[in-house]
Amino acid sequence: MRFFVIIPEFLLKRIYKSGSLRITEEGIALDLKNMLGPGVISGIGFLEINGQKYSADGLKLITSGVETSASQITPENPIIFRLHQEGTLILEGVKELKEGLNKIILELINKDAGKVQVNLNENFIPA
Amino acid sequence: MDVSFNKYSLLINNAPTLIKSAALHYFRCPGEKTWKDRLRKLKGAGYNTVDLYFCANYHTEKQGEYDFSDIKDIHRLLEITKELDLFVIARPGPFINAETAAGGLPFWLLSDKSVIPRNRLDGNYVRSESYMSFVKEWYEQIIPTLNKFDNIIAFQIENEYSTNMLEPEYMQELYNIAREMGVKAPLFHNDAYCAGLYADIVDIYACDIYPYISPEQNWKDEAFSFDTLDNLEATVRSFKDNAPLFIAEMQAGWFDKWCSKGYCKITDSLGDEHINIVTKTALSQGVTMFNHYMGCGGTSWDDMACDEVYSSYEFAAPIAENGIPQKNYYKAKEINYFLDAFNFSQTETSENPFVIEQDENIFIKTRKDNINLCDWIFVRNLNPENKIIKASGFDFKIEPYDMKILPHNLHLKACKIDFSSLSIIGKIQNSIKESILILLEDNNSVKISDYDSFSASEKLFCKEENASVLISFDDIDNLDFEKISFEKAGKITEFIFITPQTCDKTWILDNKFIFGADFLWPNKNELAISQSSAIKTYNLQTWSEEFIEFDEKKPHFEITNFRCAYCAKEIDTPYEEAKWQVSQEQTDSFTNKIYNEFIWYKTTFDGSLDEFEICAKHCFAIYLNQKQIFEHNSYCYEHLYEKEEYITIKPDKNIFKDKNEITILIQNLGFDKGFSNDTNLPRGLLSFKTIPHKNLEWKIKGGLTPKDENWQNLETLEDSPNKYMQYVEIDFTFHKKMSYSPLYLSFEDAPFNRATIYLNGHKIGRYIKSLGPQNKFYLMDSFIDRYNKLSLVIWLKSNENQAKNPSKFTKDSINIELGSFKNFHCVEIK
Repeated sequence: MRFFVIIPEFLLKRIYKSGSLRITEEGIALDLKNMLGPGVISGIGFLEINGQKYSADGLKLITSGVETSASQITPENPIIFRLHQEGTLILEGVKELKEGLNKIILELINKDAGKVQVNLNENFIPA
Repeated sequence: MDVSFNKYSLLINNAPTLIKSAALHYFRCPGEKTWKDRLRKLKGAGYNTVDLYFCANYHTEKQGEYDFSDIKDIHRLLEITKELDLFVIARPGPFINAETAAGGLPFWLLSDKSVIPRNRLDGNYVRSESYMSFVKEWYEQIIPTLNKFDNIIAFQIENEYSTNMLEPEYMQELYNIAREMGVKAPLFHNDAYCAGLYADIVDIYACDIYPYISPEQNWKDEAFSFDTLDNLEATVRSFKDNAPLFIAEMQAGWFDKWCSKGYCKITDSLGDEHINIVTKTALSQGVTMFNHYMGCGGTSWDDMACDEVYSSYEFAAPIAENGIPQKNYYKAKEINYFLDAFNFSQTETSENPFVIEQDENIFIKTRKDNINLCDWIFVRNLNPENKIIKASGFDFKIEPYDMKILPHNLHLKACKIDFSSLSIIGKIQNSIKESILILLEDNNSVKISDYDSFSASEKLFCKEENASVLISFDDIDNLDFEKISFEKAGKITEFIFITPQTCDKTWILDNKFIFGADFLWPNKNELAISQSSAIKTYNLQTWSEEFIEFDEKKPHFEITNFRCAYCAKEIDTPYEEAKWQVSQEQTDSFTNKIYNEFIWYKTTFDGSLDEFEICAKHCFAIYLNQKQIFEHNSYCYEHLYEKEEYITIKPDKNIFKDKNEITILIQNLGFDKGFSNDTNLPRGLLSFKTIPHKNLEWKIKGGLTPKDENWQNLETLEDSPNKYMQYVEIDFTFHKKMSYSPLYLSFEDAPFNRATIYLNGHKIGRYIKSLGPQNKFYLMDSFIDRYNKLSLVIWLKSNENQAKNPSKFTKDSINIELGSFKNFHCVEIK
C-alpha cells in the first residue's frame, strides 16, 4: 500500500479479501489483506454500509492476533500494515446486512496521502 | 546486435547478459562535454547501460518545430554511448514525470483545450484524438533516431501509468505504434505500484522500487520498507513468468522539494548502505535488469523543473549534480565489478546449503547459479548492531545495515571456494591466471579446497587441514594487498585482500587493477586524484607504482567586471505596450500561451477599490501605481493535491489616483509533473475580482526584462524610479588545465531573499530563501567558458522588509561567493 501516491481505485479494492463479508457474534466483519505494498495506517475514518456511516468508535481491527480499537489508531499511534499481512475489521454490535449486493466504503487515513476510500460492492448471502 | 530474452535475462547476441544501468537526464546535464564526463564515470564504475528519458518538452517550443541541435543533439548523445560500449534503455514517454514541468509534455500541447493529456481525465480513461496525434508526432521525431542505434536494448512506452479501470487501449496503441515505427528492442512499461499493470501487453514487465520515499523517513528503523523488494520474485512471476525481472527504477537516491531540508539530509539518510542493500536484495530476487535511478544528478535549468523541485536535482545520486562521485558511487562500483566477475544472469532460488539460525531483521536467501555452477548466499542485517550468523560451523559476522553476497562451492581456475564470508570485489584474468579482489572484514573467513599447492603472505592466518585451507581474519589491520595464491594443473588463482578504504579507490580497467584514484574516465584514459597519491597498477604479471603530487592550486577564476542596475521597468508608468499582449478572458498562462517562469500582468482603471481578491500560482507581487502593496507565495499542497488560495487585499486608499494601474509579477515555479495531479493545472493569474466590481482588461507579457533584452546592452537599463528588482552582472574568467573543478555560486550570506541566476545567458538557478533549502548553485560545466558572464535578477522586497527602502547592492555589499566544490588533478593512466 504505497500511500504516498494516489492509488487507482481498482488497486485499492485489492486490500479487501473477496467474499469475506459476514456477520459474526461480535458484529459485521470483513477481512483485509495487504497486496499492495507496505503501508502505515494513521487512522480509520469510517465504515459506510449501504449509506449508513459508522464512525471509528464502533470499529476494531485485528492484525496478527492483536485487537486495536480503530479510534486508537492515530498519527501518533499508527499501525504498520505490511505486505501480505492480513487483518479483520469488525463493526461491533451491528448485525444487519442486505441479502445480495451491499455497498461498502472504508475510509483509511495516511499522513502523506490523507484520506483514502476503498469502495466495494460485495455480495452477502446469509448462512 | 540482436536482443532477445528468456525467463532469466536479456540475451544479447544470444549471450545471457545482466543489465547494470544508471539513469542520466541528458537534459539536466546538457551538452557533449558533460555527457562524455558523466557517461565515462558510469562506465568507469562498471555500469554497462545508461537509462535515458527523452523529454519531448525539451525539444519543442512550438507545434511541429523540434530542435535536436547542439546541446540537444540526441544523435550525438547516442553516438557517445556507442563509443563507450554502453547499452541504452530508451524511455521516450511521451510522459516521463522525472520531476519535469508537465511531466515532459510540451507546453503548447497543454494549451490546446481539446487535448486530454495521457488520455486520462480524473483518473478515468478518455481517449483524446488530439493527444494521440501528438504522440505520433513525437514518436516520429524520436524513433527514427533511436532506430539508427543497435545498442538500444529496451524501449519504454509511457511511464507509471494507470487509470481507474485499467483500460488497456492506450498502452496497446503505444505498443503498436512503436512496433510499426520499427522499434526492435523489447518493449516495457514502468509500473509504479508493482501490481502487474499492463503485464500482458508488454514484452518485459518492469516496475519502480523506492523503499525510501521521504526525508522524514528513517529506513533503518523500518524493516518493512523492503517488503515489496523482499517478495519481488514471487510477485512478479505471478504477473509474467516468461521474461526477466526488471526494475526500471531502482532507488539510488531521492528528489528533494522546496521547504525541505536539502540533499545533505537525503544523502546522509541513504548513505552507501542503502544502495548496497537495495541492489543486493534485488539480485537475491533474481533481478537481472536493474536501473539505478538516478545514476547522475543534474540541474533543473531554464524552465525545466516541475513546481515541487528547486534548481538542484542532485537526487543524492552516485554522481552528484556537479559530477563528483559520492559514497554510493563507490558502493555501486563494488557491486558492478563483482557482477562483471561472475555472470549472475541465470540464477534460481534454491535451498540454503547451511542450517542458519534465524534472527530478527536478518534476511537470508540462496540462489543456485546455472552459469558459475555454485550457490550464492545473500545475507542482510537490518539491526543496529553487529550480528554473528551461525551457519553450520561457518560462524561469521555481519555489520549493521550491511548485506553480502557470499559464494558457496565456487569453482575457480586453480581452486574452489567452499565458502567465503568475505565479499568478492572483482576479478581480472587471462587463460592461465586469475586474480580476485576480496574485501577485508574482521571476524570473517574463507575456506578453499581443490588445489595442488598454495603460497600465502606471512601476515595471513592460514590453517590447512583435510586438503583445504581456512584463512581467518580476526583483525584486518595492515593486511591491505596481502595475497594468497593457489596452483593446480598449470593454472593459478590468487586472492588479493584489500580494506574498504582501498576498495573505494580501486578500479578495474582493461583487465588491470588500478589503486589510488578518486575516479577514472575510460576511453579518455585518464584518472583523477584529489590529493597526492601513490597510484598502483597490477596487470596479472607486474605491479607498478607511481607517486603523483597533487597541485594544490585552485582553479584560476578572476572577476573582471561588476555592474548593476535597477530593472523592474515593467512596473513603471507609462510602459511600452508593444511587447504586451491582451489577455484572453481566462488570464492563466496556458490559455494565453505564455509559459515563462515569470509573467507580468497589467491593467488600468478609474477610481479606487475597497478590496480585491486574487488567486495566482505561485509567487507573486502586486504593484499599485508603481508601489508594491503585497507579496505572497501560493505554492500550496495538501496530501499530494495542489490547493488554490484566494486572498483578499484591502489597499491603502491613499495610493489611489483618478487613473490607476495595477501590475502583477507572478513567478510560476513550474507546471505539475502529472503524477498525482494533472499536467495541465493552470499557472499565472487564475482569478482577480474587485469590490466594487470593475471590468478589467489585462495585458500580459512573459519573461524578465534582462532576459528579453540584449545581455550586452546594460547601459539601456537605466535606473528606474521603482527599485524593486536589481540586475547584477559579473564577468569572470576561468582557466583550467588538466583539472576537474566544478564551480559554485553561494548565497549563504547574501543579504537578499530572492534571485534568478543566469550563466552566459542560461537560467541555471532560482534562489528563494523563504522556500529554501538551496543557497549554493552549481555553475553548470556545460555553460562555463573561458570568459563568462554571471547575471542575477534580485528581488529586493519581501514582506519581511516591506517597510524598508531597498538598498542597492554593490560589489562590496552583495556578499556572494564564487568557488569550487573540490579540485581534482587529472593524469594519464599508464
